[in-house]
Order: sequence, then C-alpha cells, then structure tokens
Amino acid sequence: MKNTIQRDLFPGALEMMILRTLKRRPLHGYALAQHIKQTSNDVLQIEEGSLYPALQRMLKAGWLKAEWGISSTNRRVRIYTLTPLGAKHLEREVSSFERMLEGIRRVLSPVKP
Amino acid sequence: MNWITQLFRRRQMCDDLSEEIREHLEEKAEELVEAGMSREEAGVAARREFGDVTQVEEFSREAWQWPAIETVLIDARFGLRMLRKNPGFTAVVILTLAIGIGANTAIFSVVNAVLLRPFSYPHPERLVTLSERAPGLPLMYIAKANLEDWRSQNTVFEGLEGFRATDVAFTGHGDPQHLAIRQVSAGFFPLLGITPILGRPISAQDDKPGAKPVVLLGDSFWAREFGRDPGILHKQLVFNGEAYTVIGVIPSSRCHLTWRKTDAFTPLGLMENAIGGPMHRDTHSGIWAYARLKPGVTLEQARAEMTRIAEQLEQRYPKTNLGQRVNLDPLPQRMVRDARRPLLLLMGAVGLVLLIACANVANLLMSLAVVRRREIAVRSALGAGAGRLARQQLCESILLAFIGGAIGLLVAYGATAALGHLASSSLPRIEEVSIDKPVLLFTLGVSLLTGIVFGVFPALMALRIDPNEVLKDASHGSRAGLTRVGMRSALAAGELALSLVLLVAAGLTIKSLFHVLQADVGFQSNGVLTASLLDTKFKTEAQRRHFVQQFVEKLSTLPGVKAAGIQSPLLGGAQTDIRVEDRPQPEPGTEPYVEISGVTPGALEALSVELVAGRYFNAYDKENAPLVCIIDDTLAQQYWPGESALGKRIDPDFSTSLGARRSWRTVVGVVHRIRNYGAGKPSLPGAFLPYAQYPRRGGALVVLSDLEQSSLEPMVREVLYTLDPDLPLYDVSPLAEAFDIHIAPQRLSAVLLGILAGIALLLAAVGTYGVMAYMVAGRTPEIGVRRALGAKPADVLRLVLGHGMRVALAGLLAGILVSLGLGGALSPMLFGVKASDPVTFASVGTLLMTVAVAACYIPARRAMRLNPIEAVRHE
Repeated sequence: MKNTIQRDLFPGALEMMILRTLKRRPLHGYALAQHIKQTSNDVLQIEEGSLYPALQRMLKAGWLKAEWGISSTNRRVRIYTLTPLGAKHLEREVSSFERMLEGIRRVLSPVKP
Repeated sequence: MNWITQLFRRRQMCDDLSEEIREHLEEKAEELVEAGMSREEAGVAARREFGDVTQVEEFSREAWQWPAIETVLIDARFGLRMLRKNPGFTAVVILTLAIGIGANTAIFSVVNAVLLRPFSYPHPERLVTLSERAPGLPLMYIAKANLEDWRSQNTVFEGLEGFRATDVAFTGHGDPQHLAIRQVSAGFFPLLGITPILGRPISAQDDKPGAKPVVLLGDSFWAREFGRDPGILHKQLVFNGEAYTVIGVIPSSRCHLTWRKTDAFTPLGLMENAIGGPMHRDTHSGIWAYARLKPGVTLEQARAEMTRIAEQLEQRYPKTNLGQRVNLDPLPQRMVRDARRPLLLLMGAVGLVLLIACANVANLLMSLAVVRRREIAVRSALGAGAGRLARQQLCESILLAFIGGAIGLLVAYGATAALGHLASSSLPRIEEVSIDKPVLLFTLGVSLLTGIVFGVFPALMALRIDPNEVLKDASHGSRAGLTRVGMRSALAAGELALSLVLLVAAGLTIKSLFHVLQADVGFQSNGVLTASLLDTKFKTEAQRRHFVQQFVEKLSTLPGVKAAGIQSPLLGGAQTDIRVEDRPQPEPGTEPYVEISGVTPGALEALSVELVAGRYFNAYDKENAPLVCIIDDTLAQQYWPGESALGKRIDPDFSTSLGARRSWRTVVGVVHRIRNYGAGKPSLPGAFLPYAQYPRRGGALVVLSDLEQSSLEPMVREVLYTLDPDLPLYDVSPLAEAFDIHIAPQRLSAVLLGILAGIALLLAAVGTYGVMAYMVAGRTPEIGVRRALGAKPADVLRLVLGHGMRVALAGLLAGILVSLGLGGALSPMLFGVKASDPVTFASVGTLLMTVAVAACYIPARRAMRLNPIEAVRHE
C-alpha cells in the first residue's frame, strides 16, 4: 500500500512551507496548520493531518526540534523549533526552488518575435 | 540523535504523536464551538478537516522505521513464537545445528591457532629455519664450525643464531633433577625479539668457549623452584657438577613448539667446554639455527646465498663438507608443516558433518512447512506476498541457525578443551587454541550461511504454495505436500552419501592406525619400563663405563627383572656414514648411512629384538676386547645377500668425531630391523655397538619385567641412589607410552574422524527416518486402498522399504564415487591401506545400508500395520 495522502504541488513543498513558517517563530502543530492555510489565502488546501507525517520526517532528519510546552490558550502542546540544520536546508531548498521557478517562467513567458 | 537511542525512544515518539493529534483535534473543536457549533458537530468537523487519524498516525510512525530491519524483527518475533509452539521440533533442530556448528567452531579454533594466527614474534614472515643436508641425509644438524662460517660470510640475514637442546643434572637444590636446557648463541633472544623479564641476555663474552658459565632461567622453572624470587640473580646453580651464574629470567614463550619443556637457557659456546676444544667440522651435534632475512631479501635469494657459501666451504673442506648444502625454510610454515594436512582434512570432515546437519534440518523444516501449509496459505490469501512469505521462512531458519550457533559455541568450548588435552603431544601451538574474535566471527558467518543453506528449501516451498488449492482441500489429506517427496528423498540420499564419505575416511584412518599399532617395529614394548639417565657428571669415559656396568649388573639381578640394559640413545641413534670391508670405497659424498647406538648387554634382550644370526653382546665385549658390532638384517641383506654377515667387518666413520682411532668392527650378530620412529616412518638401517666400546653420554634404561611400574620404579631408584645419589632419573614410563608420540597424531586423526563419522551416520539415519515416516504418513490413504484391494502387509512393507532402499542405494553410490575421488587427499596419511581399500568400502557400505534399512523399517512397519478401513476413511 502506498501513501495516499495527497502531497500538494510538488514533493518537498509542504516541508519548505513548514520550515519557512517555523523560521519566523516556533509554533505547535495546530497553529502551524492554521498559519499555512491563512497565509496561502486558503489556496493550498491541505488536510491538517498531513502535516504530522511531514513533521515526523523532519524531526528525524534533524531539521526540527520538538518540545512540550503550554500554548497561549493554556493548552499542553508540542512546539516545533527550527534547528540550524533545518535553516540551512530551507535556504538550499528555497534557492533551488527559485531557480526552478525562474526556469518555468522563462518557458511560459510569451516568445518575443 | 543516533539510531540506538532512536530505537528505544520510538515508543515515546508514538505516544507523543497520539497525544499531539488528540490535542490538535480538541483545539480545533474548541475553536469551532466558540464559533457557534455544537460540541458534537465540532468534533466531527475537526476530524473531517484533519483527515484519517489512524492513517496519519501510521504514516507518521513510518517516518521512524527502517523498513528492512522492522520487518525482519517482526519476522523474527513471529518465528520465535512458531518455534515455541513446536518445542520438540525446535529442540531437535537446534541440537543438530549446535553439534554441526560447534564441531566446526572447535576445529576452526584449532586451525586458526595453529595455521592462521601469526606467530607472536616480531615480523615472523622474515624468520627462517636452517639445517644441513648431505647426500643420503636430507636433514642434518649443523656443524658448529659451519654455523660460524655461515654467520660471518652471509649478506642476507640480519641475524643467524644457533640453538641446541641438551639435558643437565641439577644438583644442590633438593633431590637431583633433570633439566631440559636450550643452549643458544648470544644473538638468539634479540633475533626473536625476546627480552629477559629479569637480568640481562647472553652476551658475546658469555658465548665463547672457556667463558664463565651463565644461565637464564625459564619463567616456569624460576617459579617452580624459586617461587619467582628476584634474589636468584647472580646466585650459582650446579648443572652437571659445574657452577652456573644466574644472569636473568626468560618469559615463558607461548608460541614455540619445542620450548614447551625448556627449563633454562645457557650459551651455545659452552658446549665446546665439555670437549675441551673447538668442535670438529664433521660433528653435527644437535644444533639447529634460526635466522632473520634482511628486509627485502627473498627466500630464494637467501637460498642461493647459502648454496654459494656451502659450495665455498665444500671447496675449502672437501673432507668434511662434501656435497653438504643448507636447508632453508620459513619458520612459521616449517613449524606447523606436519599439522597442515590432518587439520585441513578434519576441517573438511566437520564441514561435511555440517552439510549433513543442514540437509537434516532442511528436511525437518520441510515437514513442518507441510503442516503449516494452511497457515501459509491463509496468510498468502490475506495479502502476504510470496517473497514476504519466503523471507519469513528464511528468517526463521536463520534464527534457528543463530540459536544453534550460540549453543554450538558452548559445544566448541568444551570440545576445544578436550582437543587440547587429546592433541597436546601431536599438534604444535595447541596451547594457543582459544575462542577469540576470528573464531567468533567464523561461528557467526557459519551460522548465517547454515541458516541460508537449509532455509532455502522450505522458503522455496513457501514460494510454490497455491493458497487456492490448499484452502479448497479442507481435509488434511496431504497430496500436495507429496510433490516434495522427490526433493526430500534427494536430501536424504545426499546425507547418506556424505556420511558414507566420512565413514570411509574414518574407516581407512582407523584401519591404518591398527596397521601402525600391529606393525612389526622390531621390538616389544610390553612389560618394558624405560627411564632416562643423566650421567653427565662423569668427566671421563672410564668413570661412565664403570658406573653403567655396575648399574646394569645390579638392575639385572633385581627380583622379577628378566632383562635390563641401557641403550644410548633409546630407539634412535647417531646418523653416520659407514665403510664396508672389501667393498670399493663409495664415491665421496655417497657413503651409506646407518643409525648407531650403544647398547649394554641385556638391552637388546629387554627389547626382545629378534636375533637372526650370531649372538647378542655380553660381558666380554669390553673396551679393550676386539671391536664388535651387531647390525640389522636390512644392512646385512644390503651387503651380504645370500651369505652370512657374521665375521664381516664394517667401519662406522665416527672416528674423527670421537677422536678415537679408525678401526674395523666385526659383525657378531644380526638382528631384525628396529623401526625407531614407528611403522611407516622412514628410518635408516641400524647398527649397535657395545656400550663399553662406545660410551656416549646419556641414555635410557630398558627393563623387561613382570612388575608394575609402581613397584619396579622404586627399586630402580634405590639401586641408582646407592650407586650415586647425585644422578637424576627422569621420564620414567612404560616403553609403550614413550613410543606413543610416534603414533599420537594418527590416533588423534582416527579418534576425531571416528567421532565425526558416528555423528554423521546418526544424523543421516535420523534424516532417512524422517523422510520415510513422512512418506508413509502422506501415502496412508493410498496404502489403505492398496490393502483394501488385496495387498498383503508384506507388499506394503516392500513398497516402503523399496522406496527407502532406492534412496539409500543412490546415496551409497554417490558416496562411493565421492570417496574414490577424494581418496588422494587422505592417502598420504595412511599406512598399510590404500585409499580405495575394498574391504573398508564394503564394510562401511554394509554398515550404512543396515542403518538405512533400520531407519526405514520403523515407518515401514507402521505402514504394514495400518488398518485398511481406517486408512481409507482418512481420505
């Protein structure tokens, strides 16, 4: 059986968004999901649950750290923080993503006669 | 985070995750409630938003798994459960494997220690051993003068050092005792990288003739006699009536065969003190040498150099060095050379035992797999892939092999202890045997390999199971399983074939041993007690002669003693060239060699050496009487075929080395040839001289009597003590025991191969029984139908036995072919029996067939007694 959770856009995009969000400040899972939804103006419809396998993979890769703490709503939550390794990974990913995007844009832009 | 902590913290991770998800859902629901939803609606909505909780959890957990290891662990856990469910089966399998793997581990630990492990000297690969050879004498001690010339002339060695074993009487410290001494030249210890644990090594000054005698004690002798008292330094010990100053202590060396019994070390140069001048170049007296090749010098270059030097010496000293050359061999190989073939053969034999064990276990597992067919079919129907099922089977097999291997290690531990005891006198480096890292790795590897080898069969079977067919076949009639009888019969035949190979090897070796034991060695050891005598304290030949004559006379008159004498040396002799009167002078360098020993009257009688013609020596063969000798019948036959050798004269050319005048000796007796080193070992023709005319130092008593050692030994000691309280008597033992060192290696091979062949036969019998029992179980309905249709019990018996016999005959034939093919490897170790000995093959074949019939008979009888009605109802 294969992983049937739909990964949005392209592989690694979700990870990239998580890393980018956590770079600004540490968040717990629920807040993270809400943040990604809101900032993408609900364009990116992700199942909230699909966040968690990604978080586990990134924990294992050492990009994130997780610690139990208390949220602003006084709830026991696991707060994820970006590690230096994660920050480096994000940088790499973003730059390669931008290169790719640039390439796509050139191909898509109308050919000038 | 490293993977080990991950492994242990995973459960924590999973718990964290579940809690986290729960919190997530609650937070969401709460928010929705605040937005005005009802509690229930909010819960449902939160879940909808979230997705499939179980799946999310599962995928999250997956992030932490190593897929391969995980499934293997699951397989292993499942396998363990299955094994626990069949304890009898599991026990048989594990025991079989433990014996197979244990035997392999034990023999490998010996091979590892003796053949593989490097010697513990620095750069052992550059150490070589040297000896001399002459035409007709392939192995000869080194003449001291030659050794010194080699040392000064060679350009290929960093060091070239001689050593020599000798015995001394140690007095002035309790009872007189015998010490085994190694005389070594000054550079000997540095050459081998050995430093004294106390004091200093031998200096060049110590090693000169005429130097003040010094001694280095061996550690064990130091401990035994002086309780490791460091105050021993500079004290004096009396060896052979002479004072030796202790200058140091040498650690017990673990890696040198011939050092096992060395008590102390003295300078080699002192050997010339004893004869009061430099040794003659013609005397090759007990010296061997080690040397260390300079870095970059090859063995071939060194050999060429030594040949060049030998040729120069030959030109300079044609009288003594004619045709003499140098043997040069790598020390490590040389030391274990004789052990190589028997050990590799044993390794092969235990390998075969393991193969048989594998076949046996494969057979058992296949029986179990038939029983488990339904289980496997169900799992297959539920979606387990064929590969997954095969892997599960293989995993179980390897698990079994590892458990077997672990218990095998225990078996090996016991076996190596027993082997060390059994082989102490026949294998070099045996005291180094231990279960160390390479051995453990070997066991691990063998276990894994074993698991794969026997696991392949049931795994293949699992691959072929068709769940549809198995599950449709609701009854437990097992037609489908029968398709595998062919493969299993082949396995059983293979087992029988391999065990036949082992039985043949064991049979031949045992028969060879019997030949050795019964072979005519020319003397009788029954009732003969021997003891070594150290008469080194006597400074003159006259003193020694006088003492020996008195001693032998007194011994001969002891009650119960039939004959007594002294032979010097016991069962051996100085190898020397001889001339024969009235025969043309042989080409220089091609003189015939004989082994010469001195015997007192009574010695040949005590050994029951058969007199073919003439007489034994008697009291009149004195120093000043006419020179006489006794020769053996091979020598007589060689020079005087068809006529009497009595009255003929020979000249054993030891005149120069003894410093006596050259003179002819008259043959007064011809005796049957003595095989000094055991039957089948090469030995030169023998000649015996009266001790009074050839008073060599040392020697051994031979006393023929009706008495036990326990009553004879005290009497002998008493006689000696009254004659001279300072003379030690040592190595007192029945002659058969003393002679046993020549037979011990053959006995060891025979015993071990016999044990292995026995195990193999047992395993093969169990395997055959298993296959036949299985076949009978599978064919029960068919047999029932046959009976119902009128077949008699005897017909059924014939049916089952017939199948068994076909299997056994196939195994027998294959085994005979393999044995004939492998015979060459065994034949150099055999004495008096050919590797294709038809008697051995016939008796071993009969034994195997008998066992096979017995193994088939039990299931056959069960088949015969089947109640036809019940058997058919079975269907």
